[in-house]
Amino acid sequence: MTKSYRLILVLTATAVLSGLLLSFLNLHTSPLIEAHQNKVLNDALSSVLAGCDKIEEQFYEDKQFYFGYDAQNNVKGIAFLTEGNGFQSKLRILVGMDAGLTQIVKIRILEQKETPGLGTKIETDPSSKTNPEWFPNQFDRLNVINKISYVKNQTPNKSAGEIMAITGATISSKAVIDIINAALVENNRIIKENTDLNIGECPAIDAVNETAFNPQLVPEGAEIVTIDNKTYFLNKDENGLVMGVAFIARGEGFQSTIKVLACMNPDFSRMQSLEIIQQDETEGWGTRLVNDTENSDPQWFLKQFNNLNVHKAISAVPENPNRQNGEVQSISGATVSSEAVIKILNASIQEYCDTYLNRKVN
Amino acid sequence: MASKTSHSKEFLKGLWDENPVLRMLLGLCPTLAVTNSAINGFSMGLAVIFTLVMSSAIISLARNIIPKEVRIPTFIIVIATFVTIADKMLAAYVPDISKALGPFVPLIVVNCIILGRQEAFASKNPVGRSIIDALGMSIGFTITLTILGSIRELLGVGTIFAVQIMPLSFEPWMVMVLQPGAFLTLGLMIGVSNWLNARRAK
Repeated sequence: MTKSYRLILVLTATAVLSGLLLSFLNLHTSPLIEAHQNKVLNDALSSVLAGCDKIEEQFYEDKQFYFGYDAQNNVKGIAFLTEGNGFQSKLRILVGMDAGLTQIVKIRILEQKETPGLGTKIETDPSSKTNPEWFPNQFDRLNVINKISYVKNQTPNKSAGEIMAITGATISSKAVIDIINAALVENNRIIKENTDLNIGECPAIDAVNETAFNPQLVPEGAEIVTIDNKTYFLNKDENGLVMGVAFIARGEGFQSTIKVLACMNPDFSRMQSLEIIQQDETEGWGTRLVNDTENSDPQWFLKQFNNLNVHKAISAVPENPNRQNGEVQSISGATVSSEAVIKILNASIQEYCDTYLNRKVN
Repeated sequence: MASKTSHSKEFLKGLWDENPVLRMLLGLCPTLAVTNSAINGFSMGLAVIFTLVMSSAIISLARNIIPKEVRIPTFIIVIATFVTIADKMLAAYVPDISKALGPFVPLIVVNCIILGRQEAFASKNPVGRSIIDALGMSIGFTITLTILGSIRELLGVGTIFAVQIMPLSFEPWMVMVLQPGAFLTLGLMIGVSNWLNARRAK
């Protein structure tokens, strides 16, 4: 046997033996690996579609969806897998939504290899003994009428789709949000075009921007749009994103007609500011709505509406208002005027909110 | 080429005198990358023990058949086969650890320790001796990685093998579980081992 035949023989034999060995191994391990992956997915599915009696897989436009049905065979929830790039690894996220695609029920991070101890907190945070999954749990029952956004060092507003970013892992936190936001837009369209389900308006109409809206800008800077005979003033930033929506409402005060200019977040979850543009209330009492000379801050009443949470109706309390619950302090001696303003706001916010959020988007 | 060193010496050299990480500075890529916790370092070590012992045994058995012109590709095929076996087994039976080790198990193929031992030892020594050498080297590697992982986990998270060691008031040094922590700790460990050797030599 010549030398070169021997070289060929040895290498070929090694490769063939190795191939044989590996294919036998694969026969044995691949069902186990697949079973494990299915188990992980099924566990995750039953968690994000909790309470559904039956889960079915569906493909639309090459995308996989999981529909959860209740006992009466009505669609109760829709889940989908989505993936994208995190800070340093690929993130795979299973998102469970309600049947209207307006609210996230729960998310599960199926795969991530982010920075240990920082980015990995998007899945579990071992430093939190009480709630290691605080970050993914923030998505439970999260409203997605607007894009999901994140806040830092302040309490997030859930109805506005806000979640708290992880300190030291903002990019990973933001990646989770961006991946879900992108998937929501895409999947909303696919579900709408391929099923008869009655789902909500496409989420993520506008980005929520907390930058305070300056009502002074309404007449000159704002874009005026009319939807269903209602006039809105849209304050946009230089990229054309709506940062605030304002409208004018009127109603009866104690003795006069009160006209207000209310500026809201684009999702109507919070007020940005309130101005009273017309009133003729009792001098020295009702007029304290706009100018309270007895207080060091004559405009304290109006300033209470800045950034006020309005997911519940606004209400007046004599003292110690809880602003997260939409409470403001009424003016002692001008309770009727105070309550009139609140009544005007509650009625008009509801009306203007419904029209605005249900508008057709071009 | 039978050397005169005893079997126990052959085994022990891998733990200290020729420790692959601390003395020969081989296989540093997985050493630095996976040791953010004790369990990850330990599991990586186990995968290396399996691969190195099996490869050494096979190469040593076949050492008289393999022509020296094709020895390197043959070694690589054998090593890659066992690495794939280890990778698939981990994924099938301990998926959590497989997930944590990520791409570093497949990368054992190019770990210099393994190819180095085949070239320097298994291809020139009988099976028994090669296995003992492989065990010593890979256990030395495992111990080093476990210690490195433990130090980083202790200072970076406050636990070792996920058991709380530090008082809860301890503020974790986040840098220790990040890449710089790997370099710092490994550098200090190499420094300490050099210092101990220098003292012993006196």
